Amino acid sequence: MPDSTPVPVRMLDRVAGGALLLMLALMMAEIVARGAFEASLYVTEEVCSYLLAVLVFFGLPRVMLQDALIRVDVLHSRLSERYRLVVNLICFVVSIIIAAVFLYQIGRLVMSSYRRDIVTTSGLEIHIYLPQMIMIVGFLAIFCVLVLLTVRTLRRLAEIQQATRAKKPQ
Amino acid sequence: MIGIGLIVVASLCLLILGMWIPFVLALAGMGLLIAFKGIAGLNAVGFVTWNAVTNFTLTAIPLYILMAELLLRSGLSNRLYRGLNRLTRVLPGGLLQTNIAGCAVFAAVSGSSVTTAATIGSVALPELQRRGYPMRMAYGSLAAGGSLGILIPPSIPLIVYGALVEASVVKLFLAGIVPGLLLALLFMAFVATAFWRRSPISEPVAAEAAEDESQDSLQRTLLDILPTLSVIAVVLVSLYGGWATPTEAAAVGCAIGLIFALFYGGLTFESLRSAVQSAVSFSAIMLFIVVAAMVFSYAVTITGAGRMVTDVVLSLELSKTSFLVVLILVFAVLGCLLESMSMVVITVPLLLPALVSYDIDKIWFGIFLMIMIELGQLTPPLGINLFVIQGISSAKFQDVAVGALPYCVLIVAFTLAIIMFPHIALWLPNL
Repeated sequence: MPDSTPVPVRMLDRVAGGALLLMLALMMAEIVARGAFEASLYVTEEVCSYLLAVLVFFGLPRVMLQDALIRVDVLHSRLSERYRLVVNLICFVVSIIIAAVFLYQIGRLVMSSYRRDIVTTSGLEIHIYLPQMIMIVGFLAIFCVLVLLTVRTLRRLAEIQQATRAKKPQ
Repeated sequence: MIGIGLIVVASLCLLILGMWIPFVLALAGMGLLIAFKGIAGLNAVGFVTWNAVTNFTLTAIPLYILMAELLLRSGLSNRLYRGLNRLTRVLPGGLLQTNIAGCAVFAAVSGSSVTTAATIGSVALPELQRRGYPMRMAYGSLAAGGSLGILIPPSIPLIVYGALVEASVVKLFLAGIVPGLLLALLFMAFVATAFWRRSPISEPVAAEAAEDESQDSLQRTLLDILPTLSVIAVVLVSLYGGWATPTEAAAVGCAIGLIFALFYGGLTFESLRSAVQSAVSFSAIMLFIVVAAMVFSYAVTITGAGRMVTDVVLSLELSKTSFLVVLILVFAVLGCLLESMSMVVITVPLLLPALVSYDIDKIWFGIFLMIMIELGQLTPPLGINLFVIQGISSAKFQDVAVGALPYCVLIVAFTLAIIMFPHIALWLPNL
């Protein structure tokens, strides 16, 4: 069966997978350097932390499209399709607002780091706003996925509405 | 106060309606911040999110998940089950003993109960059906054995708990070993008691036993068990020997898992891609909950909501033991509604001040919490392990739940034991 996941989401997911493998390679390099040469890469901890951010925020859009995030399911799966869609719609709208707050607040943080020209104190000495941009990209993707899910839900609701009208006797 | 009430009611309603848990947690946190501090209260959300997602302690989680995925795809779980079966089939209960022993051993390479129950369950169930075991008991042993996954280290909820309360993950892992093994032994003793006077289950057991006698059984058993035991040994020794951090130990485990997957399972590019994708998805699900929980935890701390909960608890003038017994009841109810990670991240920030007031050791409480989560994983309607076993076996949910019931009683009894004798959990980390 062809993968119906949008290309940008698939790309982000691949980057997240790459981040995990890179994290593994870096950790192993650090262990070997320490064990065999009594040396350290010095940047492993910092880079792994950034890679963790990539893994979480770039991996999330696909997980959300697959509806794999955890929910309490005492009611949800027992509802008829129509009511479940209505509940989903409410939840998606609230989630969009929350994602927008995250996006705005993270945007403020990144702008503040940029304006103050904050540089990490580790060996890397990079401008902190650069890795912080990972969160912006991630939450932007999460926001778009939520909008996409809302549109899909609305479309499906409209289809059900039409089908119900068509069934009603004239 | 009206604002707080509205936030609590709205969050609970959305939670019950089925909104994704991280968004409910973030909503509750943001709502609390606005209610107490106004819109300006949200200003720290960006910083809290950044700090949460770049917490180095949490980098161990995706690596432990990848390690389990690689071992799963290498076919080691089948070998482990076969090898353990040769060792445990002489015990009353036969394969049911293998189920629990297999789960206990696999728990030491997997940080998750669901993975443990699913892995051993998928290997064991066809064999249990073929040999005519009473299936309710079989389902119960697998669901309960699987729950050991979060108590026997490595444990993903323990890593998250450690990050939330700023406790040493190594000490938490050490504290989980003895209670985890004792609980496994308790489960095995229960199975042995239940099967004490029953006749052997079926003929294939005797036939295969005779076959093994003729083919150097000990050598085959060792060949089957040693690969998994070597992964456990390397991870645990490097961790507790002080040579590696939890994240480095996980990386070493991954590397060995990769070698075994190549050696035993003929690792292909496709299976590696699938293992990485599973690890990414599972990690993203878990860690997004943690990120949202950090926002919630920050709100609880900054607004003094945790202190309020503590004041209410202290006003009841409960003794320490009574407080813990009340917690057992609260967690038993919560466990029926929430899955493991959500239970940790929702309750810990609220309870932390009360734990300090009662002078409860953070390491000990971590183990207490894990045992309570184990209980939650076995209680309907939302016991996740019940669903896992039901999903693999296509059995009735009711049969799986009834099968797991005796183990719930054992877990409660064991919890009371660790309340009375806290050294069960604490002597190893205090050595």
